[in-house]
Parts: sequence; structure tokens; C-alpha cells
Amino acid sequence: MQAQFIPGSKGALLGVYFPPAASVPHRSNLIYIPPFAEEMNRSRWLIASAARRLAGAGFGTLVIDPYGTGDSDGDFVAARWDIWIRDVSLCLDWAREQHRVPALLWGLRLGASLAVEASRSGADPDGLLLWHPVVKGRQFIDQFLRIAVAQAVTKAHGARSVEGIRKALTKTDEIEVAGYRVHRDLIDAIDGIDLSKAGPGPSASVSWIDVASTTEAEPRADTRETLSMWAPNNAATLEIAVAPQFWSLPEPEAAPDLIETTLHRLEAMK
Amino acid sequence: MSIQKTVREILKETLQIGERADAMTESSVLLGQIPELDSMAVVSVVTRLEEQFGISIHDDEIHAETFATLGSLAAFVEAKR
Repeated sequence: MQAQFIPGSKGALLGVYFPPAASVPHRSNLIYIPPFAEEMNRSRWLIASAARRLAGAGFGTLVIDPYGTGDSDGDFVAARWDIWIRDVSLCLDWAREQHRVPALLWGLRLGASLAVEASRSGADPDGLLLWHPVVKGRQFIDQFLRIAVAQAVTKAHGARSVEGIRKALTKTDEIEVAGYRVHRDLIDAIDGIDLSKAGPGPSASVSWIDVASTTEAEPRADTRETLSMWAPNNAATLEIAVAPQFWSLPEPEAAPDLIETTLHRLEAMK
Repeated sequence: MSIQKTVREILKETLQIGERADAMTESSVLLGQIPELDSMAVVSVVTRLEEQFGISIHDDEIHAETFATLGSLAAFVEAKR
């Protein structure tokens, strides 16, 4: 594991690189883009364990803290979607400067959505590995704002509603939810995400993996809708891995099926 | 599986409480007795209930009475279906 600061468009980004094992050919590098807010914290352990497994098979991973998060520059309230988008390209450039191997984007949840949008806005990854993407940003933000509603319930404060919070956001620039101060520009940008409306850039090969509690689970409706919209221009593969929704669980959980499915996919990608 | 059992399984998975969930009965107190049931967990549980039962839960239905006991939560889900 090698930690370094990579220059981002607005400030320095902490990147932790998991180099591939020396005993195997170096197949490609993955730029890992984490999920939003508390999901990023809760998935750290599993991502590190996945990155180590992938490294053993010849896939290097750069795990980045996006601007305003983790140990990168900036406070969360200064984070903006377009900064994150630009920084994706800079990280791809970094990877290509390090090694002459394909550079792919690997995103979890909103990180996967960011990877797709980045591939449409100037980044040209050699592939996209998408773990349980957030398809509809507005619904995702509603669930995020619900945490503030639930905070009122668990602390017996006055009632709040998602609608009330959204209304308040038209008059103020920031909101605090579960310890995260978010700027309304970032909320507006995420609200506007709808992966089913436009696919990734044309050159990327796409591997989409959703998690479910059993192998017999039906794919999410959002996933099916999105991939059928993308199909004419992007032939994405879809897989369902049996795993818990580890990004929302407070204690680490293993997800061997997800990691093995991913490895299998990566080995099959160009 | 009965609604109550399914709700109990959802609590078990989202709160990661293992055997403590298996031991729950209809009158087991949730809010206030389970430290893992914080605001993020409440949202996770609500989202999972929506997905599992195909129901839609509104903000004003997320209140302390709903989450008082396993029985009250199961009854709430039953009434929505």
C-alpha cells in the first residue's frame, strides 16, 4: 500500500495505491471512487480487502478520497460534483503516468454514478466497473435527507420532513445531516442524476454488478431500465452477487461472492 | 414467512444483531432498547421494508410509535399492504 497526495482540480487528493503482486503480470489499474458520506466510511474495510484480493491477481487499485472527504483537501461543505468529475480525469492521468496498462474506473453506489458521468464528460477510462450504482439521484437524496427526519424521531425532536428540508434548502445554502454539512449545489447536482437517461462514453466496456441477498433475486427495476436504455450504444454486462448492503452497515461484513465475481469480470474484460 | 418474521429478519440484517433478533417477540421494545437503532439504521430499515414489501412509507409515518416494538412495526407493515 502506498499513500500519496495527487494534485486535484481544487486541492490535493489522498490516494492509497494497492500495487499488484510482483509475481503476476500487471493487468490494469483501477481508480476506485467511493460512495457518498457515511457510506464511504462503512465500506472502507471491505474495499481495502477487495483491493488486496484484486492486487493478488494483477489488478492495481488507487483508492481516492474525493475532494472534501477523508484526508483530502477541503471540507465536505466545499465539495461539488463538477470538482469530483474533473478529479476523476486527473486520477486516470496519474495512473497512466505510473504504468502502461489500461486504467479503469471502479465505483461503488454514488461513486459508480460519478464514474459513468465522468466517462461522458471528458474522462476516457478503458472500462467501468460499477458496484450497485445509484440510478436516480433524487431518490438517493430523499433517502439521505430522511436520515435527518429519522434523527428527529430517535431524539424526540419536533417533526421534520424531506419536503420541509428541501424547502428550507431553497432559503439556505447548507444543511447538516448525520454530521455531514452538505452544500445545496452538491445536492442539486446529485438530484439531477439519472443514469437511465444517458449512457457512459462510447469507448468504455462496462461491467455492472448489483448485490442481493440471494442468487434468485430479480435485478433491480432501475438497473433493468438503465441497461436497456444503454444497450444500443453500450453493451454492459450485468451480474448479481450475493452480499449484504455493506455500505450501510455499521460493522464490517465480508462479501466473497462480490469480490470473486468482480475478479472474474475483470479477467474477462479486455 | 409471516410478516413479523420477515420484519425481524430485516432488523437482524440491517442492525447486525444476530441472536438478539432471533430472541425477539411481538412485545420486544425497539426504539430505546436497541442502541444500533439510530437514525441511519431507521432509514435503512424503512428502505428495506419498502423494497421487501413493495410499500411506500411517508416521512410522517416515520415516528416513534411505529418503531416502538416489533409488533407495532409488523402491524404498520401489515396495514400498508
